[in-house]
Amino acid sequence: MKMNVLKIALFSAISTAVVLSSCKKDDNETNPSENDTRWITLSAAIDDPSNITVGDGNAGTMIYSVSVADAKNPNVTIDAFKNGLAVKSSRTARLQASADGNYLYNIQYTGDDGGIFNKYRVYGGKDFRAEGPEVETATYVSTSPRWLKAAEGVGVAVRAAANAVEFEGTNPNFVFKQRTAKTDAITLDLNDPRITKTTSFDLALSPQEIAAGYYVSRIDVPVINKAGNKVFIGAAISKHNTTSFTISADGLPVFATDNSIKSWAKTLVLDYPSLLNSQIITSNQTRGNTNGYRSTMQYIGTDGNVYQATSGELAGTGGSKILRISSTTNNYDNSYVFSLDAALGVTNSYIETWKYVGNGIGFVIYNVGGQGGYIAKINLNDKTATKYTIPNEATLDFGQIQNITVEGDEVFIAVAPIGGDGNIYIFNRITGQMTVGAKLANEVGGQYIGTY
Amino acid sequence: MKYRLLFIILISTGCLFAQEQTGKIFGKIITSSKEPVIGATVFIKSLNKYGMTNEKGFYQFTKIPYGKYILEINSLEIELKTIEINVDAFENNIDITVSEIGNRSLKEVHVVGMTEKRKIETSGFAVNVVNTKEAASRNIQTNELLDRTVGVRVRQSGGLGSQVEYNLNGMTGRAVGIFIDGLEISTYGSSFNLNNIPPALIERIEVYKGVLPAHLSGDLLGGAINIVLKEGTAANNISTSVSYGSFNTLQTDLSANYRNAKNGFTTRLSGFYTSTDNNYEQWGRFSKFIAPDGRVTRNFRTKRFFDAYETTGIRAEAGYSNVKWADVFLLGYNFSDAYKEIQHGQTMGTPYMGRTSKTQAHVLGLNYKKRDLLIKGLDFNLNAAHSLRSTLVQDTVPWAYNWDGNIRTDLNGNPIRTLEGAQQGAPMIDDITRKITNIRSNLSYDIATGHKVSINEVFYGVDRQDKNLLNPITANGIRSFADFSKNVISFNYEAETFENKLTTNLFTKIYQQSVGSTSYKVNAGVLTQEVLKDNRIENGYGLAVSYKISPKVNLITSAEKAVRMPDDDEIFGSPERNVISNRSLKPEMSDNYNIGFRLGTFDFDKHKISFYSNVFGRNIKNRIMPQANELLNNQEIEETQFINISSAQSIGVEGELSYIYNKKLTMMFNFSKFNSLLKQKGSKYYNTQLPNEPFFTMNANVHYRIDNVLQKKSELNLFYTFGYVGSFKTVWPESENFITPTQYAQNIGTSYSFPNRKIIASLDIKNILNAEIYDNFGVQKPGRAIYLKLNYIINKF
Repeated sequence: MKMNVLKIALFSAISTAVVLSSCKKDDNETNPSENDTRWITLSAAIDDPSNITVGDGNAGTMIYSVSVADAKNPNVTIDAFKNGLAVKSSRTARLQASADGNYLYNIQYTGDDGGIFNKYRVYGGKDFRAEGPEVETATYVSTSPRWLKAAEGVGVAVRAAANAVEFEGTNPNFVFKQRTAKTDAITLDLNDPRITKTTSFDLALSPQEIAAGYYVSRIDVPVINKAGNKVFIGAAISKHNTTSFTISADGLPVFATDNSIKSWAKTLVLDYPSLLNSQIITSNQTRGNTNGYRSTMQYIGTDGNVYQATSGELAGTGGSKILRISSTTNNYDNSYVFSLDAALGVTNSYIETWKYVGNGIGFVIYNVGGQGGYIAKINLNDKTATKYTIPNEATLDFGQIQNITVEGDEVFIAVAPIGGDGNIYIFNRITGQMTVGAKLANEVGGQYIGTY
Repeated sequence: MKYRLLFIILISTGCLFAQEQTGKIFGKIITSSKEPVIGATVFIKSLNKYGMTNEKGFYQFTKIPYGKYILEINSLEIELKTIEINVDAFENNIDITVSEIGNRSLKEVHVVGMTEKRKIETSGFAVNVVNTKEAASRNIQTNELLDRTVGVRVRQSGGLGSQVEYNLNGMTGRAVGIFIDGLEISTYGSSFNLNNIPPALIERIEVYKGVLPAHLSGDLLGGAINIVLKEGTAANNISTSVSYGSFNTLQTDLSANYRNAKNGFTTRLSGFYTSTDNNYEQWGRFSKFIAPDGRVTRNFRTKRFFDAYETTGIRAEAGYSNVKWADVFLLGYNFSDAYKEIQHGQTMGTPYMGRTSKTQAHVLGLNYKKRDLLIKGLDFNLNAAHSLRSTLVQDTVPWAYNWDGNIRTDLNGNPIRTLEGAQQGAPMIDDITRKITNIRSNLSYDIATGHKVSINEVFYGVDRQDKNLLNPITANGIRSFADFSKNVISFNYEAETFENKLTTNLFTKIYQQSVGSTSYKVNAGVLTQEVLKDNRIENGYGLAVSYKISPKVNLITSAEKAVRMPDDDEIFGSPERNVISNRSLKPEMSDNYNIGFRLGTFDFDKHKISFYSNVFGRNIKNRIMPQANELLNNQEIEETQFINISSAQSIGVEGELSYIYNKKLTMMFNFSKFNSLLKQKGSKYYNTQLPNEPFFTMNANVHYRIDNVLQKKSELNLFYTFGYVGSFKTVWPESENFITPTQYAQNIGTSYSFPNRKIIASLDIKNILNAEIYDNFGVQKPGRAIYLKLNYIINKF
């Protein structure tokens, strides 16, 4: 009896002590030596093990940084999964970086803190330190915003969500009227994190396109033009079959999707920095999307024009293109098109991401007909392309790739099969020479998805 | 508020019940040689009341309603004797003479009566019985009571009335069945659940882990919680209570019993009313204040501003008990109504304003029990309910709110509209109506003494209709719809052998489920109807064994191959729970094993000790789990979908130690620790703990009774409870940002019973240290709260 009382008393005392003493851990402020190293940060996506899709990257993102010398050294092994830092994000983080590699910017994607912007200073290894306030963007652009560093120091986050289909008539004789997209965009100051401008409007296509069932379903990859007075935002256009619908449980029509035809490539243009005067420009060079997938698709060329990669063209319609938006008209230059299919002699190429590295030269990561993962150096001026040969390229998958970084004349690309080890590949932007750099250690279902 | 008035009427009508007289029966049992019979049982059959003679052969019963009864007297020393008696006076002295059995030399015999709790707990199943008696007079919710039970973790997303999830040894969601008197709780709707049924209306709660007995044979894997409501008893009484405390929380309940001893007419009326503002303070990590330029202030200290809850329930039963044609024949009607303000989605990241749900249910029930139906040994039990449930979810406020309770403003000072036009998504006023039929019948036959076979059948059918009240034009047109029904048939063989030391229960179950959907499609002006039917049959089997090594040492073991069919909400979705449909869900399968023991109660002088422990294993395939915050469509709403995850395993141990000193000090400690592991081969996380599941919990409570404080014959009770939940990660990778920290909750309470035993007053202080506690990370629970309660009981009338 006495023992029991004693035990309980002791137990309560200990627990009370624990409760009272559980104060905050101090941040280990070991002042780093002057941070003049150019760090190369690698990002890696963790597979969500609770489903059967291998390599979905949905369980979060790890980051790890190394010096340029280490990144280029094939005797160095980098294991971001084991040694890296888990970026705050329930799912794949949408990371961006300053050009010098000193800062990483992230907007958390979905989850409790989806849409929260965080800025990190890079100190090498897994040492990333949060700097400045967190910024909430979810109220303006949802907990899963599409965003990029649209110019040095400026982030643009966007969102377009198709509104409910407007229809006329009564059950069951419904008639399709139109579908618009509620569109939101904000600009972020990356140097002093805060929102600097917001806009919201309903985006509609031309009356003919609306009648045919077309609507804007997603927007992404914003870039600010050289003059700094326009922001170009890539778009995906979807289409309904206006005469086919099912009737839902609450008696409303749900119109079918029509995948038999793609819309001409389109781009949303806003004035910068006011984000006013929304306007849609249309190319007549390809029927495809210009919004890419998680990574940059459009760059300001040395000539001042914007070069924009497309994807999602229907099979047999010529594959991905690179289009030009004129620096003088801020509209498509329909006299120009770069066809990756034509330049490489393949069919149904699909650009996953690319990097413009100056003087009309770019490095393109692509698949062919949905298969493989290939790297080619392209010349936008003479419309040529040279494919590199990398190991396992027929089975590589760059579907999740987010970034390619350039330091000096060298272009760094992380290459590793899903769940397999790989390497950083370094390409000289002048000579085109490829060298194999540090080894990337992988884990089951894991993927390396970016260099910064 | 209109229910408050209704409730007052209810209370006043409750008092109008006929005042029935009761009397006391007492006397002496002697042998023909005038020797007193010591330790004989005296049994009033129709009241199911037992008594025992003392060392002088005396017995006594009090509060016996006037009427005729049959007394049965039995002991090892005597021959069974039955006599008919008539209770017609306040005191009835009935001495009885019995015949001795031969010339047997008698050893000392202990007759150990088992309480219902102990009887169930030693039946072979891994089961704990929670008594509600103490909680009934205190400011304790049924959910809190359950949360202190070994192996049970109640995870509530917020304050009173908010959504609750039950975790039994690592099994969760719909793998765990919740029953009211053996019928699925969904029959009663979300307006009548563990959130609002006060402990005072509950007789006991049975918590089965893993293997389930036939009378609860649903398609469940993780076990079941069965709430046994108080039945109409012979004792006529009225009891009522009112509680008021923090966050403007008012709770009242009432129950009244009446039985006519002459014709067996029995009626019972009970009801409750609860309302709360839930405006408690929060300051956790996800409590954010956001400036117009987006800058975030975390750990923002604020009060919840749209979280009120109001609920009313009324239950009326009438029928006959202990009559010739039925042991029990009761018709019941149950009405319940709940209104809930929804402060946020699955986490408290973004506050909502104006999103509400209103639920209502009307349930008609029938309960019929008859022993020895037609032939001796054939028992029949039917429990059926038909309910009409409705859920109205409304969300039309277009403004985005900040946690300070104000509308957010943009950089130009203008109010910000939400992205989708309402708080959680697009504006909606959805009315979902469900008609549910739930029938459970059991037929059992004693083939020989100690051997019983039974067949148990459960039918559950749902007919659901959705209405979008924002689009009334569609109200009368064609619409797609779904229907759902399931049957579980189980066959049991129960045996008690080896002088009743070994109890075995062998069973097999057949699960049948039909899911149908009818949809309409228009293509170029042509209307076609598409009917989809999905019919699935699965079967399972199991065995439960209990072995009594000695009266105080019981070994308990059970094993089952269990099946759980996906539920209608999991297949078709449920907007009020933020769940969207997944029609390709597969049934979940589990092999369950339990092995455990119960020791005690051992008496040493004034000390009483008992101990219970159970080791369990679950092997689960196609586990059905909610997938939180997934990107499922362009709208990207905070919604959940139920998915199958391939494989998981859970192995663990739980234990409970109780100690009583001199009937004054009661101490209890329990713990539960398990590993719920992912078993998907090839995954990096193979054999690691599934995220977002608390896997280590401990509870301790101390209760001390002091008699004769201030007044003679009064009773003062002091309580202290301590709860511990070990920290657990909420996502797969190790990340300090996604860990639910260790939780400590401490509560104290006191109750005072006045000498007349009619009034009990109690005071409870919850979360005394005002700790930051979470059940689901991202939703902070209330801090320190104080409640006062008064109970009033009229026993004799």
